[in-house]
Amino acid sequence: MNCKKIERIFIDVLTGEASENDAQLVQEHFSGCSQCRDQFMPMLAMNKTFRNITQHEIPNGYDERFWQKLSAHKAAPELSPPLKFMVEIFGTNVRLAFISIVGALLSVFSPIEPLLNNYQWNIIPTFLLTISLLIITFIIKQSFSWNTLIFYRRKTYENK
Amino acid sequence: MTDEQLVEQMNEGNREAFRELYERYKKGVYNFALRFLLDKNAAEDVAHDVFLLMHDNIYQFDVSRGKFSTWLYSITYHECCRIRKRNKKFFLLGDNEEGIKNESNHNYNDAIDLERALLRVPEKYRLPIVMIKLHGLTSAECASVLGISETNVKQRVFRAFKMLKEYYKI
Ligand SMILES: [Zn+2]
Repeated sequence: MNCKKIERIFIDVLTGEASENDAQLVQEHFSGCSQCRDQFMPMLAMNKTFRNITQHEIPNGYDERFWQKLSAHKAAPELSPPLKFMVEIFGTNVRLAFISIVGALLSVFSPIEPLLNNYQWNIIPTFLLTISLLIITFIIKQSFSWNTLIFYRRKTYENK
Repeated sequence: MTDEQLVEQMNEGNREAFRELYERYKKGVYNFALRFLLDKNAAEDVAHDVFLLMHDNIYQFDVSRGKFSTWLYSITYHECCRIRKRNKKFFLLGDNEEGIKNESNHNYNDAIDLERALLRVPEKYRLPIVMIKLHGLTSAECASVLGISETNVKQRVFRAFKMLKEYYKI
């Protein structure tokens, strides 16, 4: 049997999906082909070593933190439709689009322009308004906790 | 009781079934995420989110399409991808680099050295080998999680073994 075929069978040995017979074939080939033996024997040794790799211990407090997260997650009330709409509106891209449109409208129809007639550049109050809108929407978005958002995104099986 | 039976119980509203599944997989999911992201805090966050997702979406699990563990690891894989996309900077566990370089006479048998070497294998090749050798998935299951062909999975595992052999030589 040629080396290329052996390589294919050997991969199955590595993934643990070769039959006894295949494993036998590989061993037989190794005894007659030093090239394959030198290349593959270290891999076989490593393959055995994988069994000795132990799992990392979970960190301290992992369980407590999880059960806390779960109860917070369950306690989060389902958002009412208008709130859902808000979450969507103030989602990333939509939020930016919203801000730019409002900004553009304000620069044309600035509501406080008459109050600020002294300014030659009404871009300054417009700019301030836009910035404050940005901050407000950011605060609104942040006020929805991560859990609430998760809850919004995924229905619980209990409510099925 | 099998995982799949527990899922059935969970769908009937048995809370203890969820607890049991959590106990069975908390370590596995955490380890999988850790070996993917190489960051302990990120791995814990992902693992917790995976169980929340499992809790919420258990009704979507379909026994006819595979084992529960494959489904759970598939969620873990996608959550890891999502987290990694958001934070590009992750670092190796501790400072393992030196440990690999300083020891020259390897006999391929030391599990700790092997794991250190494993962490240096690029993600593309590391994930299949981690799933198959450390989490007990078959190549077919691994292929379905990663969305690639089984042949591809096997080739990657083989490449990973070749790389591991190289890293031992350093
Ligand atoms: Zn040969």
